[in-house]
Amino acid sequence: MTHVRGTAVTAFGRLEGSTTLSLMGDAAATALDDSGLERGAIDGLVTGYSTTMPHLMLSTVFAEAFGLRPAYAHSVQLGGATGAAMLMLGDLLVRSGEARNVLIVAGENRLSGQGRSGAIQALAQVGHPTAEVPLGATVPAYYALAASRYLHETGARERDLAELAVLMRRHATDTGGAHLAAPVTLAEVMASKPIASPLKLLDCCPISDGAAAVVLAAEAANGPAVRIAGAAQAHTHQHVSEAPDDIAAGARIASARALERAGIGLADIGYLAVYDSFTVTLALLLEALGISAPGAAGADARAGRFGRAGPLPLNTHGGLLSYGHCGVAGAMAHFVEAVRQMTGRCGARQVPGAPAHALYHGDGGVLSSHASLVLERTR
Amino acid sequence: MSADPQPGAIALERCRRCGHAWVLGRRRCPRCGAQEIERSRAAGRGRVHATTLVHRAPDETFASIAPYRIGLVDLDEGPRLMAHLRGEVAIGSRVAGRIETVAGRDIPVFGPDDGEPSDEPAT
Repeated sequence: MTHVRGTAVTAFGRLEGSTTLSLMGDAAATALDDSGLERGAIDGLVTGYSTTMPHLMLSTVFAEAFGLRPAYAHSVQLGGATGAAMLMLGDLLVRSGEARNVLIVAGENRLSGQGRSGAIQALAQVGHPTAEVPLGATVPAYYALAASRYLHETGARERDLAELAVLMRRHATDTGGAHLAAPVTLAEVMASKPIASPLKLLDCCPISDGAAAVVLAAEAANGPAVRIAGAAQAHTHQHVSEAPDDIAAGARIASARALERAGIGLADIGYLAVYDSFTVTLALLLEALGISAPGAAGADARAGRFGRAGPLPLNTHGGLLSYGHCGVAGAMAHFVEAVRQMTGRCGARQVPGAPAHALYHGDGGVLSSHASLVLERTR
Repeated sequence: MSADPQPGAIALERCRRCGHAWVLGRRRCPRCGAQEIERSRAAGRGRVHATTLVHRAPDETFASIAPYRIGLVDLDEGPRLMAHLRGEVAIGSRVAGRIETVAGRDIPVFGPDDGEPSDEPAT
């Protein structure tokens, strides 16, 4: 059984002077303190990647810098799904017995290290090098294509997508460390400048600096505890040009398998941690996961279903859309928030009645790679 | 494109074993795994599957022509490809297109299908 033993998230935003390794080290040190383990107890290390520090061997570069000599090290690259995939790998390592205490850590100075234009160009490369990128396409454009189909097929309106941006900002307003914390109205989202229609600036997550870390372990610490009860992936395509018409099908496939492995159903889930690089990402995922009816994610948000006091709280830290997006660690923040809500550690933003089960889902590429994890409170 | 006998035609690849067709250059059929690949030309006609008007360009070259419309077009031969779109077209519109030079790059550009026979028939 894999227990979540320690968690950490740094502030997200512009963190001048930070580097990939300094941010990873900050989060790792805090997560280790939280776990109550000495760094010598870490025998497994899982890292992601960093666009500001491309390296063939990021895991061992970090291990050397942080003073670890793990028995197992691995760098994972699955775009936005990397964080969830790293946590799934950590679960596999613990359950197989290959490692007892796995440090999962990511961080990147994505904003201050290269600026927005550099990041936009670097990220666009998830597109096809000859058939997509040379057309002047960007990640927002890839997701905007998906958004145009979403609106066309479901009858949802742009203002429905905007509801999700309003909700994430509302959640970030009292989350310490959030990149964007000033409340926004529906009208402000709708009036924000166009990026790639139908997506506007406030439909898009910011580019941030930041880091997150998690310690997964074979033994739980004292006090409230959470375990990984099920995990699964699905990979349906890479490029939006080759995506199935049901573009988010991978979310349905991965989450169904993760829930089956956990031995529970969607109705048992009391908290949602869902990747939200764009408002349409969140809408498509919530609907593919079976949480909302087709086209209804925005209406569900408007009705209060996903608020802190609602029946199914969602990304209560503010998500990528408002807490911020620094790459791999951006989606790990959703996991950390879920664990803290389940263990009653969220202070003023604590949801009523610590949830017994949470569903965590990430996607990478253009809804290409998916990883789902089911979390369960054990005491 | 100077050595191309049909300048402007959109290249297709088709599996000789299973007939699957695609536009992203590949050495092996992604459906059946065969390596017998036939290169052919699309007639350049299809239907718009998705569309976006890009305002925030990735670089200065594209910023100089922004906003520009990008779409996914379902070619009559089967494959879906990304293209620039011109004129009054929306999801579901019939479109016709070919390779043109835009912002210094040779890319597929589609516009409303005028209904005339294509001058770049499939071979």
